[in-house]
This record gives sequence, C-alpha cells and structure tokens, in this order.
Amino acid sequence: MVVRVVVVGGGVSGVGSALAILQRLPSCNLTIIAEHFTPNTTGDGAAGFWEPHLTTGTPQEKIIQWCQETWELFCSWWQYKQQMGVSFVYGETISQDPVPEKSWQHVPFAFHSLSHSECVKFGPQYQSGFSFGTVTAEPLKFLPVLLEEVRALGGSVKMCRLTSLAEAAAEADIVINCSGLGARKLVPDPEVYPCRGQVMRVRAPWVGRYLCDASKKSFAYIIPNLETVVLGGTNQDHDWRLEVDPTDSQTIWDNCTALMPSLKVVHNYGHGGSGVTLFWGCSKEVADIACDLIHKHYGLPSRL
Amino acid sequence: MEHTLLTPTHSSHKTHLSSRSHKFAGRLVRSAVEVMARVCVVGAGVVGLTTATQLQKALPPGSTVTIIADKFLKETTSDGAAGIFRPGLQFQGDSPEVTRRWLQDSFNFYKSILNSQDAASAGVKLISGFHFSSKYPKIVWNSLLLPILEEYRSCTEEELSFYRHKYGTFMTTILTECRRYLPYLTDKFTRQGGRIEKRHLKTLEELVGHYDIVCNCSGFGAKDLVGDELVTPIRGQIYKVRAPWIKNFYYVDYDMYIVPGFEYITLGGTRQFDSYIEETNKYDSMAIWERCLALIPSLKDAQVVQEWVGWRPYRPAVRVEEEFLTFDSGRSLKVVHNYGHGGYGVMTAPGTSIHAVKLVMKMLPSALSKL
Repeated sequence: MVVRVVVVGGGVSGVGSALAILQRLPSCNLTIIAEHFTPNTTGDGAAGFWEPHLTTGTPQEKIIQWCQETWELFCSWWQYKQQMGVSFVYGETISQDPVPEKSWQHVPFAFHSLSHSECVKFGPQYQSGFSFGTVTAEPLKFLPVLLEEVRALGGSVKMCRLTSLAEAAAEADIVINCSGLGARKLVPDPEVYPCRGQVMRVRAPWVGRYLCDASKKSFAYIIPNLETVVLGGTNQDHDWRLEVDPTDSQTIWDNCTALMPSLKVVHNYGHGGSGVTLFWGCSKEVADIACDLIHKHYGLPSRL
Repeated sequence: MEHTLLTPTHSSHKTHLSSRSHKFAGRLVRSAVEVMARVCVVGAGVVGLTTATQLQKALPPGSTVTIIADKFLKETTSDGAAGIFRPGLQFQGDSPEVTRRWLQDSFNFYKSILNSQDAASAGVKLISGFHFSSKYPKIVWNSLLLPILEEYRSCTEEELSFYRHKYGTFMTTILTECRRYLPYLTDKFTRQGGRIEKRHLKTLEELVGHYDIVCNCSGFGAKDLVGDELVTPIRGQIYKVRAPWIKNFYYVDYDMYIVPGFEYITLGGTRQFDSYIEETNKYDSMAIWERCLALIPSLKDAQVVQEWVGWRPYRPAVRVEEEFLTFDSGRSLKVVHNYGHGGYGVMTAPGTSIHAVKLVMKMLPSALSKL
C-alpha cells in the first residue's frame, strides 16, 4: 500500500518535515497543505540568524541535537550551494544585564565571552557579552529550493485553509502538524501564542558583521543578510498585530543607530519575523517519528 | 624671532598681507606664514588625494592646493585595490619606528571615519577574516598588525577543520574601498577650495615658479618623473565578482585572497615582480579561480563582473622625504616625496600623508622667504 502523508503548514517546519520524510520514505504519497507558502510564511521575514533560544519546556539535549543538525546543514549549504541564501558572519552580542551560560556554545565557531574592555567600547553601560561565528539562513531564499526538492521527490503542494486537523486527516494515513501559530485554532492548543517581532530591512552593504544588544532596556540587533541588513526588534507576547508599529520602528532605529552610527545614512523599509535555528534537526526527528508510526501501523519498513 | 604656525580655519577667502598683523611682545610683527602658499600635489590616487586634503587642513589661510595628474578615479591603480588594512611583513619606511607610526596613524584615521556617519559614503567598513596556511605556521601571524588590531586570535580546531587548513588566524580589521573613497576625497578637496588639473608632467621642472612646494605622490609615475630606478611594478591581477554570501575575507599563504568590498568581492591574486604586462593573463585567471574555489566551492556560482590588472608601485622602502631639487637649467624646486607604497597605498595613505604634510610645513618658511 502507498502511505498517504499530509503535512499541514508550508513554513520552514512544514517544508523541512515534508522533505525529511520523503528522503526517508520516497515511496509515500505526500502533500503539503497550507494557507501560506513562501514568501508569505512567518520565516520569510526572518533574518535567519542561527542562535538557539532554550524554551523552558523542551529538554536541553533535544534543542542541542536539533540545532547541531541544522548547523551542519546550513554550513554545508554555505560551502557548496550558494542559492540557499546562507551567509557566514562573525560579530558580538553585548548586554547591560549579566548573560547566562549557553549550553550550545560548542556548536557554532569560536564562542567566547567578551572581556570588560571589549564590552565598554560600545558604551560604559555594557557589562557583559559574547561572540561567535555563525550563519544566517534566509527562508525567503531556501524555501523555494526546498519546495522544488519536495516536488522532485514526488511530493505535491496544496494551498488551502484548513478549519481543523480532522479535515486534513480525512485523506491521510498520517498527518504531520507543522502549523506554527495556526495550531492554536487547528488542534486546538491554547498554549500556543504569538510573540510579535518587528524588523526593518535596509541596504547597508558595508555591514558584514552582526551586533546584538541583549539588554532588556535597549534590545536591538543588526544582522547582515545576503542583500540587506536586518534591524530589529521586538518580543511582544500575545501581540497579534501584523502591521508595522511606528513607535517600534522608532525604537529599533534609535537603538540600532546608537550601536552603529554609520547606519544613520540609510533609508529603511520593511516588516516582521522569528526563528530558523532548529528547523532541520526537528524535521529529521519528525521524519523518524513518522516513519516509526508508519512502520508500526502499516507494517512497512521504516527505511527504504 | 620664532613664529608659531597659526592653525587656519576652513575658509576660502584670501586674506591680504597688509590687513593682517598682531602684537607680539609690544611690537607689530608680520608673520611670514600668513603669506599665501601655493602647493601642488602631483598624483590623484589615494596617496595624492589624501595628502592634498591633509594639506588643506594644515596650510595657512589663503593658501592654495592644486592637484595635477593624468589619471583619475577608475584610471588609477588605487581603483582596483581591495583596500584591506593588512601590511605585508616586508612593508617598511626608513626605520621600524617610522613604519609603526605610519601604520598606527593610518589605522586611527580610518577608525575615526568608521565610527562616523561618513563611513558609508567614504567607503570604510569593519571586516573580519582569516589567514590560512597548510604549510607555514609563521606566515599566518603578522607582527605589524599585532599591536594595532583589537581582535586577533588563532583559529579554533573547528574553524581549521571547516576550511581544511592546518594553521590559521582570525582577525577584525578595516577596509577602505577606493571606488567610494576616491570620489569622497575628491569632493572634500574641491569643496575646501582645491583645484584639479588634468595634465601629464614630463618633469617636475615644469612646475618651477608656479608653486612654492610640490608634493610628489605620483606612485608608479615617479619612476620616470623623478628618475627613481628603485620603483618597480609588482603586477597584480584580480577578479571582481558578485557573491553576497561571502562576508569575511580569506587569505591562504600569500598567493590567494578573497576580500569582500562594498558591492563586489575581490578574488586574487598575483605578485609578479618587475612584470610590465598590462593585459589579463588567462593562466593567472585560472590559477586565481582554482585556488579560491578550493577554499569556498560555492564561489563557482559567483557572477564575474570584471578582470583587472594593476601595477603595485613598489619600492624597497616607501619614500617620504623632502628634497631640494636642482635642474640642469640652474632652477630649483622644493619637493616632498610620498610614493613607493607598493601594495599598501590605501592602507598607509593617511599615515604617510600626515608625515609628508609635516615635512611640507617644515619647509614652508624657507620656501616662502623669497617673497
């Protein structure tokens, strides 16, 4: 029998999971169903800066495993596949508040704490900081390529707004739920909530290093992408607004130009995003789980 | 009686001798330095333009600075330079102290532009990168850079393994892109009242009687202009490509480099001593391409924008010194030389210019005393 797999969600997690499953089980009949595909997913606005944020509920070892696998994928894209939109960047994160230990610091390159003099050169208020070499991977660039790979492996794509997971399950043997914020209504799971992020993208080709201010008071980041530089940001829990907020724009602009005066000459335009660091690791785990389930329920080999 | 040089304000109006005088120990004294000095800078590359703008700040009010050159902007050797602040270990002035001072003055100069709003229009940026070697451990450390850079360390095991080399260092330094910097300096120069004349000089004697002091910043042109046999071309060939995913610079041994500028990446290079070949050489192209791709295979998709050849105006030591030139005709000219920077013109233009301007100011009273 041909197993019918439906992946709900066309963002980074959905497309990643679809690809990972097809790589493990090329014979399955796979469809991605989503209301939004690139360039309209949450990830499309992201700077794609690889840096794990350890959410309290998820086990640390899992986060580290997933971010490591994603790291290796992005690094190989940078070395061999330029069309995937990956840049390799170094820079600094500084803070007015003390910075906690990072359990993932062995993954990126040359992670080290900044000395006091290295911090205060940005201003006497900066007490701590760290630096590491990392990648930025832009979903806007790599999602189209991954979708092509999904199609090349026989997968298909359907743009459609689902009202429930049951609707997806009607034509599927297994449903992979990668609906992101949509899971709140779709599952439903009231524990899922938005954390609003606003950014602006500017043309500043002289910025080849990142600079992040992790302080609560002056939170800001300057992250180079392929053709633009991302200035951010906000972290507003339970905030559903998708429009640009001019007060946020002003705060972002003021904080970023304080960190980097050379930005003052640019004109700006743009809107808002979130995180890409875990996508490949999670996708592969999803494929593992899916294949085990398929094996258990349908007696098919879990690897072909 | 000793006169202190007045620091001029940025004004382009001329002051007349008769209307200026001041009390000094109860006596009216006319300061010789209030006479308008006519200074000519020969050469409009990065060294000529930097020296000219520095002169405008230092000379007494009412003085004029004129640049005379036959090549400008895209026609200059400076145009093709990657512009990275990274001296070769053979780079030198007349003494180690002079060399160190030139480097530190230059770095401080670019750093102050970097931290200002002028950085983007001037073409100055902060850049991180690597120097790798798989054969020579010492080659990756630069003793001239060590006291200057804030960030300079050995590569980690992961970095070495990722880039597949045995030895390596990582550093953060400054890059100045002449495609932005030369227009920026030219604009500054003309707004401050400077004049530019497009002209090919056969000898500096052509300037006698027209200028009080001449600053010779003619780069490779000095070989013929002042008959300096020590000036030697070191032929450099490069690609300029578009590859926006490359944000750091890379050097491998000394033969290969990848340096991202503002719009384009410079892929290089060659250092052919005493070579006068002006055209690109297809074997050099292949060697550069192969070496760069060996380090970063994704460069195969880089879009080639230009291939370019330049002659680095090398001299065993950069010549920054004054000279009282006398010609067969019996006429004479006061000259301050500032040429022979080789592959380090962009990097050391500020420091050598500051030094050259000091020499000009020292020479000024005697140059003007005839008036």
